[in-house]
Amino acid sequence: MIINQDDKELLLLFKEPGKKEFAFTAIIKKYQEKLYWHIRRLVVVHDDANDVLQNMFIKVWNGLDNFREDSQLYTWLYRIATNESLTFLDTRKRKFAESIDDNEDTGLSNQIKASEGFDSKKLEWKLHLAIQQLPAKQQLVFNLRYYDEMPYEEMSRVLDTSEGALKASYHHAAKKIEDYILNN
Amino acid sequence: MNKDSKILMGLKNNQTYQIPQGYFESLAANILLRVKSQSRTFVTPNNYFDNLANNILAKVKVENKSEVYTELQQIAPLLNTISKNNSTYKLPENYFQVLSPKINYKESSKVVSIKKVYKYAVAAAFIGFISLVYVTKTINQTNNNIAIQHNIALKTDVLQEIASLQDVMLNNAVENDKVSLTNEETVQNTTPPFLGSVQEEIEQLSDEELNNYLSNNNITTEKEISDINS
Repeated sequence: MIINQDDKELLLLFKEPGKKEFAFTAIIKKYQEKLYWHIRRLVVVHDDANDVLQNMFIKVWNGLDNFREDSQLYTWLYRIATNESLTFLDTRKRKFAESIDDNEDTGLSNQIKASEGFDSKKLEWKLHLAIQQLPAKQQLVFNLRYYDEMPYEEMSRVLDTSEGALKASYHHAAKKIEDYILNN
Repeated sequence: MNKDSKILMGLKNNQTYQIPQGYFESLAANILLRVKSQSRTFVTPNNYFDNLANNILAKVKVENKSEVYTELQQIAPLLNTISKNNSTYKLPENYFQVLSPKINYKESSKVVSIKKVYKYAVAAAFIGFISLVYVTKTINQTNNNIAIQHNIALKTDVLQEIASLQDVMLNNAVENDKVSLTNEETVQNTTPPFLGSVQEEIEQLSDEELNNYLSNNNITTEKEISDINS
């Protein structure tokens, strides 16, 4: 199974001219689900998550030749996915600000409420809504810790933030989310 | 014996020991029950073995996540009760199975467009090269013209400056009634020191040296000669 291939092995394969595409497909298959859900929790809508995921993997293709093997592939992929998602959200926010006079509602909370199968009484949906109340950086920290169970040390490399700051941020985020769920 | 046997016979029909009512009716069923229960002394809940693997895995997961779980238990325990599976958000069927070919397609379409761009880039580079040659030639010609014009203008400017400086000083002197226009000495004294020294040096030069200087500097007109000397 190529999914279980070691990252170093995949990177070596990628550098062999004839095996580039094989290695790249293996990398996608290995990380696609984790990265998809990381992106989807941030951008909410599937089509947007799909766009961001594909764009990030194209960037990976373009940058993989220069990837320094002393850093982890997994961490690097998360960094790119995070940056792509934040760029997408920024662009979206600007468009939303421009079109606000047209009464066009593009808020992510409303996108969640419009999702298929949404149930305002279910804790899982309340959790998604609560996460949207947090600032972007806190959302990232919470998602990486709560859903992906990423150690602070690794998260520190993904988000370029000290472990102490990440711990504090996660604590604040978890408290706020619990408060939101209890009061809504 | 006959007498005894008659008594015994009478006693035989009298039941001194009592048995529970319907004992024999249920005896067989009771024995069967005991026979069956010998093979299964302990009873398990319904579907116990069906769920066992999942229950153990869930416990293993909780133990492996202990750091994250324990941490959240201290901050916001409610969140530990919420399912973390991704069943709330829907995504198209077989999305992950078809994702990689899609990405490869996008990537290969990029390669095709790069090939097109390459063709245009070669054409543009060729046009650019021709334009560059033309522009360089034009600039060189223009520069030569400008240099010639600049040299002439510079010389004219310097000569005019010197002339105007002398005029100004002479006018000032006239206005102050300090010098007579016919007195050469006085005029020389009113000229700036550096100009005076130049004139002295020119006077000390021989005709040959002067001609060499003039020919080296392309000064040919009589006006220019008179301007320098004046």
